Amino acid sequence: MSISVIAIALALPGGLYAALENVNEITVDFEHGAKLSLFLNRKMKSEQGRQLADKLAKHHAVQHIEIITPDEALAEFKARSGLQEALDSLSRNPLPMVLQVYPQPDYAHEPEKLNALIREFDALPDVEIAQFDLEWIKRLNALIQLAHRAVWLLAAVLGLGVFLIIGNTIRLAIANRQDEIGITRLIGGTGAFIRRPFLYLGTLQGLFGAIVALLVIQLLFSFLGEPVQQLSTLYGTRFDLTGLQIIPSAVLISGGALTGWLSASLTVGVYLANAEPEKSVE
Amino acid sequence: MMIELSNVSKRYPQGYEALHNISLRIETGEMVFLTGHSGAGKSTLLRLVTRIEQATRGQVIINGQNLGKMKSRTVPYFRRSIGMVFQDHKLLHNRNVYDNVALPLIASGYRPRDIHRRVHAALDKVGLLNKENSMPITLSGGEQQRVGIARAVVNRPNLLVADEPTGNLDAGLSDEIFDLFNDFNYHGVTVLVATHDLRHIERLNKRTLSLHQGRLQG
Repeated sequence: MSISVIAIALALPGGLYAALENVNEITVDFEHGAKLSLFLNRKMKSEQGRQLADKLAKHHAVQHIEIITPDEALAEFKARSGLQEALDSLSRNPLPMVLQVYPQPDYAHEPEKLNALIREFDALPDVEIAQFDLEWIKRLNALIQLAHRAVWLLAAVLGLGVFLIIGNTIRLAIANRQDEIGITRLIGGTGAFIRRPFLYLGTLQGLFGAIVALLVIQLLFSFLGEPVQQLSTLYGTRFDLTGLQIIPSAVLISGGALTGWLSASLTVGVYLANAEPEKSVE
Repeated sequence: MMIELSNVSKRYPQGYEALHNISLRIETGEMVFLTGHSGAGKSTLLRLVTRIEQATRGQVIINGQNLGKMKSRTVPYFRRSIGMVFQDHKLLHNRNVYDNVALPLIASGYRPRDIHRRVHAALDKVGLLNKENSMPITLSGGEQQRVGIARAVVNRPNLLVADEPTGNLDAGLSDEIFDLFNDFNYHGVTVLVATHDLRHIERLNKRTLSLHQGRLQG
C-alpha cells in the first residue's frame, strides 16, 4: 500500500523530468540549425548581393552562407503556401534577396555572441533586416530552465512526503513489535540489532517505491512513444520519445532507497530511544 | 556468577520505596530462593540484578562489575550472560517454539549451524524437542514456561534469574520446573528464583532470602 503511494509520489517528478529532457532534445536539434537571415535591400542587384555574401563569408563568426535569390524565394513560397494564383497575378517579385548566415558552432549556442553578430549585420547599409529565426527557442529554453527548477522543487516536496510516509510506516512497525523489542533487549540484543530490521524495512520501501515509479514512467513513455512519432512524422521530422535515461533512473532509485534509509533511521532513533526496557517490559 | 548487593535501596519516582538498605551476597554456583509476600520487593531486586532498573542508593556488583557504572551500550553483552525466566513467559506469539528459543542466539550473532545445535539441545533439555514447530499459543502453560526456560538457557548463561516461574502452574508442573532449575544449578549455573511457593523451598532445601516490605529478614 505505502509502496504504491511512494511510487506515485516519485513517478510524478521523475516523469516530468523525463518529459523536460525530451523537450530539451528537440530544442537542441533546432539550435544546431541556428542561422541568421539577412534580408537585403530590395534595390540591390543580385551581383551585388553575391559580392556581399563573399565578403561576409570571410567573417570569423561565419561558417558558410547560402544565397536565396528573389526568384528562388518566390518559387518556394508558391510551392509551400498554396497561394500560387495570387502570387502569379503580381506584376513583379516583391521578395528581397536573402542571405542565410550559418554561424560558427561556438556562436550558435551563445545568445550574447549571436545578438552581437545580429547587431553587427543589421548595421550594414545593404542589409534591410538581420533576423535570428530562433528567438522563440531562446524563450522556450528559458521556460524549460524554469520548469526544471520547478521539477526539482516538486521532487523535494514529494521527497519530503515519501520521507514522512516511510517514517509513519516504521513507527507503526515499531508499535506492532513493541513486545519483541522489549524481549530482545532483555535477552541481550544490542541497539543495532533491534534497529536493523526497521532500517531494512525503510530502505526496501524506498527502493521498491522508486523501482515501481520507474516502471510506471517507462511504461507511460513507451505508451506515448508511437503517437509522438506519428505526430513528428506529420511535421516532417523524426523524433523518438525516450523515457528516463540511465543516470536519472539511477538517481531516482538510489534517492528512493536513501530517503527510506534516512527516514527509518531517524524514526527508529526517536522511537527506540524512548522505549527503554523498563517501559516496554511492564 | 557472584552477586553482591551492598546497602541497596530502590525508590521509585512516585516516592514508593521498594527496597530498603539491602546487603547480600550470592556465591558462584549457589542456588538461592527469594521469598516474601507480593509487594515485598522480590521483583524489584531481580530487576536490579539484571539491570532492568538501577538502584537509587548502594551498589549492585555482578561478577565484579558495578552495574551502577555500566554504560548502557554494554548492557546487552552483560545480559547475554544471564538467563531470565518470567511468570508470563514473555514468548513471541507470532513465532514458533524453535524461533522463540533461537532468538537470544540470533541476537548474539551465532552462526546458523550453532544455533540449530544449541536450540535442539535446549529443547531436548526441557523435553519439548517434538514441539519445535508448534506455536506457543497451542502449548499448555507448563509447556510455554519450559519454552521460556529453554530460551533462558540456550545461551548457556552463568546466572539464571526467575521471577515467580510457577505462578500460574499447578503443583505437578511446578515440580518439573523447579527440578529443571535444580539440574541447571547442579551443572554449575548460579540460580536465583523469586517465589512465594514455600513447598519447593522445603523440598529442595536451598538457602532462602526473605523480603518483607523491602527489607531482608532473618
